[in-house]
Amino acid sequence: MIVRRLLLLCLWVAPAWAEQAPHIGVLAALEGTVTIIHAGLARVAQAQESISLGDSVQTGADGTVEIHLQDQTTLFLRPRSLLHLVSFAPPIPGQTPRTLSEAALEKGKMVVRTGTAPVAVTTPTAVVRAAHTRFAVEVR
Amino acid sequence: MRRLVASGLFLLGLCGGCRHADTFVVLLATGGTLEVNTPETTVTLREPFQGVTVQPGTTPRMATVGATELLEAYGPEALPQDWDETYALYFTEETMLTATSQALLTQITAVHRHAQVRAMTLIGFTDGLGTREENQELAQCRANTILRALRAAGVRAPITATGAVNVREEPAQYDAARRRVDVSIRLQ
Repeated sequence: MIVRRLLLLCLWVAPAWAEQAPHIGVLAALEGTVTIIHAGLARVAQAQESISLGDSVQTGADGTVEIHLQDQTTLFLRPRSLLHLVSFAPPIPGQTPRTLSEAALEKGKMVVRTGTAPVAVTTPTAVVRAAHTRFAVEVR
Repeated sequence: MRRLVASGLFLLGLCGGCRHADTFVVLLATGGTLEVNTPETTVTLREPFQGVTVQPGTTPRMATVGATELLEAYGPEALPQDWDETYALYFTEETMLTATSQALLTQITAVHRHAQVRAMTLIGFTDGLGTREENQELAQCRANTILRALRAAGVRAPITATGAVNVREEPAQYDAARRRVDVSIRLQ
């Protein structure tokens, strides 16, 4: 009985939490198999779909996706990649620029075009910090 | 038997987990800032095509990546957009261009002799035959060959000529596609 109640609570809480995660960007273009993992649930991604803070994006062997974040950062994810969208803070006028977007590339390859503020990409072995530039990062 | 197989798979998983993935980063544009931090070190990349491989406990390995590699590995988005034109010139022998590439070089020099060229970058490559040191020298030599040809034809723009340090170990075999110099041109 208790287990059943807990299960029901989880089912009620999880979608509520998922709804609260702010949208931080959109999948501007995609090809092949791309999956979004949102609140622990995986689904096949569609072009022009919104993505939220805490989402993960996974590309299949034939999958590529272009992600536009609200701070004008653009991420181009290559096939066989897994990216977690870790943090995103709105800019604070008048403050020293700080990391606006942070993404974690667990595996694969990605090209990053930075937007209006610095970006950090963490990998299993390094942290890449960049501003006003473009770069490619690969986890081998 | 089943337990033995399960133990083997578990140990295999552990070994796989022990291996640290390495991270490769390459800068694609001029200007801006880019730092690669590891617990031991920080590497700053300043020039487009410049890359670095980092792995915990090892010294960072710097690399120069050509436009062709960038395109193959990361797709069209990786091509430096602030370079207006890029070409690949192929060699038959150590520093002898193929007939097609010789014709292309003639075209490039004819067009850019009097054009408003802000900068040119030449990056030489080799296949995997020979030692790493020999190939590095040959890559530089190929870039210098094109540099001399451009200067002799009257191109006066600032030109950077470098030999690529191979990002990966190339197989020790003939590879016509890697016997080349990538030419990138930035116009005014």
